[in-house]
Amino acid sequence: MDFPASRASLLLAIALCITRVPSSAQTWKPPVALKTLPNGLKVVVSEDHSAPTFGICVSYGIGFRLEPEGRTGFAHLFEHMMFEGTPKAPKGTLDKVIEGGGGNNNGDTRYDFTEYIETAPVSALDPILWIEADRMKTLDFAPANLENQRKVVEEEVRVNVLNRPYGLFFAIDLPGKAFDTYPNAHNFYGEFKDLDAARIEDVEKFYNQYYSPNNAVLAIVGDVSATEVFAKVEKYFGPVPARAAPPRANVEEKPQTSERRSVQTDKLANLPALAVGYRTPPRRSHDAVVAAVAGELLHNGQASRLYQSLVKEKQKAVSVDGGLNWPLGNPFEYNGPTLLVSFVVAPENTQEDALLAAYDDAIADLARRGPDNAELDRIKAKMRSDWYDQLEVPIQRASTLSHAVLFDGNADRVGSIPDEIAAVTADDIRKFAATFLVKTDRTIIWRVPAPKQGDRK
Amino acid sequence: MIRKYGTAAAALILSWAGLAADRQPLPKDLPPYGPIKQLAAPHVTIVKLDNGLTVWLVPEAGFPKVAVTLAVRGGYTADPKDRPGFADLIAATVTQGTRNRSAKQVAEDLEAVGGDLSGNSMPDSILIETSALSSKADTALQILADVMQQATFSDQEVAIAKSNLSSALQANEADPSFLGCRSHRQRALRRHVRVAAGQQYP
Repeated sequence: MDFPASRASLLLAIALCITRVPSSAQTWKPPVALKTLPNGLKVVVSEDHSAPTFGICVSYGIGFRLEPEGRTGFAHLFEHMMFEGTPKAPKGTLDKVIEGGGGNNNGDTRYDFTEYIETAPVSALDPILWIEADRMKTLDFAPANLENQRKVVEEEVRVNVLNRPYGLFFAIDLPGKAFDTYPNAHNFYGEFKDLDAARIEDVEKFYNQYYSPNNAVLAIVGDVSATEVFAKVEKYFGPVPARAAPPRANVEEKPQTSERRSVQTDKLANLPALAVGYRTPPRRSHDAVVAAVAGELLHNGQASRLYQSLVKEKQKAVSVDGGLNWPLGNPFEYNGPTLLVSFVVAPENTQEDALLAAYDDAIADLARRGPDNAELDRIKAKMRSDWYDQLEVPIQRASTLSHAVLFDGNADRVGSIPDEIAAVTADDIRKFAATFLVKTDRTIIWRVPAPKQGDRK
Repeated sequence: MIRKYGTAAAALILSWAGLAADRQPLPKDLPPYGPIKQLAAPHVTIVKLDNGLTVWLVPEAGFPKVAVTLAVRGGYTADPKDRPGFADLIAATVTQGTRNRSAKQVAEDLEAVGGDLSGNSMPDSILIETSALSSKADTALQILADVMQQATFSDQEVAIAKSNLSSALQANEADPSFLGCRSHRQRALRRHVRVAAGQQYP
């Protein structure tokens, strides 16, 4: 096919955003100021005066991993309860205050944190700080609110899991089979029997255990001064009393000893798909950074090994996704066992063995020869660039900073991740692939379309 | 993925709650909003090249990345009537190799500058977008210029793109939101339905 010649004359416009950073600049770190209040609340501020707005993230040190046994999905259900009002700010007030100030808000639950995020013009800073402090003091624990949100969450599960092709099997079922302990293996979206069993007493207990200032980090990024923010946070959050430190369950896993494989049928999907999950080294080890780089070498973009090999050269896949801690976070934001995941969608009638053989060739090549220096330099540049992307928008930078402080007590790592990536060698990658990307450390799910009505048996 | 407003039902319930709240006064000790601070509009320098290409330059200090969007008039509403999906196929293949670089080299050269490149067909334009570390902006622009002037649309790359777009469409045929949007558009717009394009409607 030829590119129609007429289109060349239709070039309309190029929009360029060029920074004034010197061309030699290779590293960039966001400005960070950190303070801890007497009640234990950690406050992190990063000034960014590019627009008269700010992003705020309040992260609590509780996620799927620590939700009680028999209460799968509870951390997320609880997240919804944080939007149901308080004695001082009844239901609806929060949205009215934030949206009335020109902002918007949301919440996210992940394995190791639950975060509440807003972005707004700086004129709304005081009311938003007030409303976040208010829901850190107490909630409206009315049983009707729980009933209401239980239905909302169950509908969310129907829409995102039960009635959606693939049903997030690469995010829910894969860790379920790869891990052996409840914290890491259970269905984080929640079994209906557990969601139904949740009582308002559970909500109140969970709040008192985990939603204390000493188990939270507040991050603000935007057109503010750190001094001004610290003073305001002291004013609004200072009176929130500290509570007993939450219990920390043991979330470690015993080593895996053999490959785990299963086959699922999917009544909605039209194309077969493969999910592979490898156990990975512990967070904050050098090997964990190597795992992150290996994950990106295999999955990041069209230059990646799996895309080039499976989609382009062998044409055995339609799409390839994955990486360390994928899909519920980036390769650096987790605080317990996680997997290096591949999710591959294949053309109709693909056989599992043929696809897996092609996949294994790509893994074996990485373990045998590792990347050459040019390939390693390329992925390091891409990962640095991607990390900067994560820090560009104030609300995302606030989220990233708050998780770092939650996990490590300070935000230093946010600035030093590009340096950690730069320290990885080709030999590190080769050894990592040979040691960790092995069959005995992996779990595979092959998901095939169920025969449709009208198909011949 | 786990969002408070995960479903239409959730949004609806919350909007009812909002209506109820409209009748309530705000909490008495809620501090007032501060004064509105004006946004300084970005300064745009417009340059026109001899060949007619218009270039907008928007400096953004303090962040070490550069983003480039090149818009070409004529998007998927300009698809020939008997060839729906044509603009999507152009967008999917224009980045897949030039007279100077194979598709793999395009991807690798961009990766080396921390960049990416994508083609997207819109209703009235095709957008080719790239971003890179600002210290490597020159290379990103060179690759973009190469792609826009020397794209080869090789038989092999077009065949792969056709096959993958078809498979993506097949996968989307199982997606309720895709089916709902398509059905709505077929009834609401009638004249030009983007059926074979294989993309989610925005």
